Amino acid sequence: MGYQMVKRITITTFIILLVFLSGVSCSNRISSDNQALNSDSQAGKARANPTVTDAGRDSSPDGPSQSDPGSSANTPISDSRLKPEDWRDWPVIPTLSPAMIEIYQQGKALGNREDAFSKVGDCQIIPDVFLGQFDNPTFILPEDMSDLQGTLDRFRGSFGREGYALKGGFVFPTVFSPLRADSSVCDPGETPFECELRVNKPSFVLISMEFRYDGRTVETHERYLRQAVEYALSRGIIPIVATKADNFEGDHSLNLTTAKIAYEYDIPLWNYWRAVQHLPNHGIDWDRDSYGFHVTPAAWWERSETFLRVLDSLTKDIQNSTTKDQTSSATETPPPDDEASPEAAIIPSGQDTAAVDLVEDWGKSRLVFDIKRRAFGDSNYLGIFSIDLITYEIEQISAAGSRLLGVSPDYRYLLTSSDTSLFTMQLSDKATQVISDNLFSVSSAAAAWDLSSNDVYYLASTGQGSKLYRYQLSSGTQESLAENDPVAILYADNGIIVWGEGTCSAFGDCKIEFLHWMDSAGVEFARKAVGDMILLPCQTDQDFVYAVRDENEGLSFHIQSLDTSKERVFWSLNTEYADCAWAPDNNDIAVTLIDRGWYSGELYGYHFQLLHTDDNSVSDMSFLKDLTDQLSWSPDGRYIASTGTVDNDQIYEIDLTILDLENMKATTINQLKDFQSENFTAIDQLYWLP
Amino acid sequence: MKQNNFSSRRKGLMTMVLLVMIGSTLTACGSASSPADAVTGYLEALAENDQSAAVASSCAAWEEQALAEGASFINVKVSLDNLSCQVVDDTETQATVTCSGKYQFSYDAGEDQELDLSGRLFSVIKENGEWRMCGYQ
Repeated sequence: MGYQMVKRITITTFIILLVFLSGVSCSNRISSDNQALNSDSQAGKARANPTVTDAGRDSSPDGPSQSDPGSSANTPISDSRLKPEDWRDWPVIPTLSPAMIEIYQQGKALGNREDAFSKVGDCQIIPDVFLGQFDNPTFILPEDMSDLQGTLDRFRGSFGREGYALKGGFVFPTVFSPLRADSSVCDPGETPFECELRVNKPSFVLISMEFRYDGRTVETHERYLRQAVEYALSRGIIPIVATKADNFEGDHSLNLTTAKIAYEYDIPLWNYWRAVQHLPNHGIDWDRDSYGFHVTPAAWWERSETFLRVLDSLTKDIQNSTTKDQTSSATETPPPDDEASPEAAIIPSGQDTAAVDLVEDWGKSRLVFDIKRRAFGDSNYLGIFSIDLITYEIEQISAAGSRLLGVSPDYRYLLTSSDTSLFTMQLSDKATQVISDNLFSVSSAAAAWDLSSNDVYYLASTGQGSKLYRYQLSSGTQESLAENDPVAILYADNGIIVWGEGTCSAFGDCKIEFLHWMDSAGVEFARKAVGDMILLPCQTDQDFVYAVRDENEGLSFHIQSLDTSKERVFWSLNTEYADCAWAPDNNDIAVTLIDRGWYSGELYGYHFQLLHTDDNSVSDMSFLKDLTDQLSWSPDGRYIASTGTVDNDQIYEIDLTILDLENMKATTINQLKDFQSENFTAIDQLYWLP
Repeated sequence: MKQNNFSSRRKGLMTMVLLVMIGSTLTACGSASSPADAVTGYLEALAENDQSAAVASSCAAWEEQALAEGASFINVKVSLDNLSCQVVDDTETQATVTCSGKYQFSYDAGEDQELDLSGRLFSVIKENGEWRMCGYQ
């Protein structure tokens, strides 16, 4: 690994040198030709693009704009941008060049989040003094900023987020030092800067390094800033650089250098220096230090307000560019009938089988779950928690009121809900992305994440009932698939959804009358009436799975092909099935059964079986007394987590047991007993995490 | 502008070469008798803001990065508490080292920060007969 690291560094150095040299020759060619756009805008090469602007254009109240995002790539136009030497006259709020819009689109295709930005910097931009208040739920924009509400909503979650490359005292060498990376999140050898961009996957990154350090010169500042800009561009992320209010170096040479880099790469420069010139002492807090580094609270606010305007300007440039593209395209496709989500998309990567394989022993991984408590007829959720299967430490991931509905294929996101809001939550930093504010929350199976296609299916309330929606994470768009009272999603994989039609009481008791099999385009290809059959949760894309109790109280488990040509039946002596779950290889089904008194309904005990569909045999493991009713397979198929609620003299305790199928050993985890209560308390949903 | 860039680059490269040369001359000072010593020396040099010693503790390929890591400690008050490094895996020419201990940072403008060294794997290689810190795994 050490040698790989060395190799990587050597190659990186070589590439930087190569890019530098090619940039020199490129720029020379362009300036001599004085031609317009070099359309080579591959990530990391955007600086080869000269900027094209309308001469004298001044769309900003502050001065001339840096560039015109709408300029045609094929029209020769001279470069009339203000020169770096005139950086004091550059507008406070920049616009995006066509090259950057192209970078943005490339980043989007790479999975960058359109609703996220990162901050790389020092104490001048920590959330306490910069933007943090915008993420405060009680914050209301002043009237003169009300036009920024859409941008505020769009980037919510990024404002108060510190990330992994932002801290008081950080300087450029810090964010390029692997030693300073958060080893609990960052990959080995990764720098804080690389780590932040990988983990957050933003569309924009603000790079603002103001803290002085011995060794900060124009040369080192330029070298590091160039390195940061090139790295961001290579990831399809638009770097936003900024001038600083102070003049510690005495000749503003660092601001000039920043402007030179912005000019060369045609990236947005936020002219914060200019924004504070109207403030007393130009925003510098001389009372706080004698060298004029810190800025006044008024300058803090100026910083937050103008940066929000920067985000607003850049996103509008992108939206305008998209609109222009759509109206000018001859091959334009008609807009979908259904609404596009106002929220931008996140794109967790596809099914990450490598992640499954990389976990050496899933028995030493983590479980994530939510906890539900019933009291006085209401169900309250205590939040989402995880438990480490080595240390058994429990961590609360999400606050009370949150429900867990799924895990992304790459295990980096949770699908969660709170009241009627459905959202994804990034596990690394708890950043959320709203999918819908209208979830049909009365159902306990109101959403599911299709791990193969990476789409989310969910039920939304309508005035009269509910609708089934498909939300495409790749584009942030959604479409309605079914309107006939869907009340539960029982299966979603490979672009196939199995959902139940029926009714739900206000208390969340849903009765399913029909099951529907549908593809991701909303085309139904099978429908089954439930009738007297006992519907089971382990449906598949090809089978209808149900149980039957005959007149002699005999219980049977049925897996019937959708065309009814094939049916596998397993018989049982117990009184009811509590849960069933398919193994990852889709050959075995784990089932839990319950024995109840036929008259009193009293629960006598649980039983556990593996049903083998290949030879129709049953492995009864009821000797494992610790297993209870709800089941979840580990992704490698070696373990099964089982959870249920035990009534100990009117005190309800959550039981969690891990069954190791390889060693036929069950381990009960006692730590969840801390959640015991006089009110019924249970784990509602349970998933495995690396 | 380009010429300025290029000459500043050249200056930077020359400085780098100079520092590498200085680092090489200090090889004897930074020699480590074991992989754990190499990492200990490197981490202590950083804490003491001694970039030359950090470079001297590094393999040739890591020297540039050692300079950057060293620069990140400048202007910050640093203490290194309870440092202890152990070899977890080694051959004749390379080794993996893990350490415990904490850097405590305090800078004059803000709050203190802590960097826990546990959980990191340091790569060490034998170069010119001496063990040298050579990156992270």
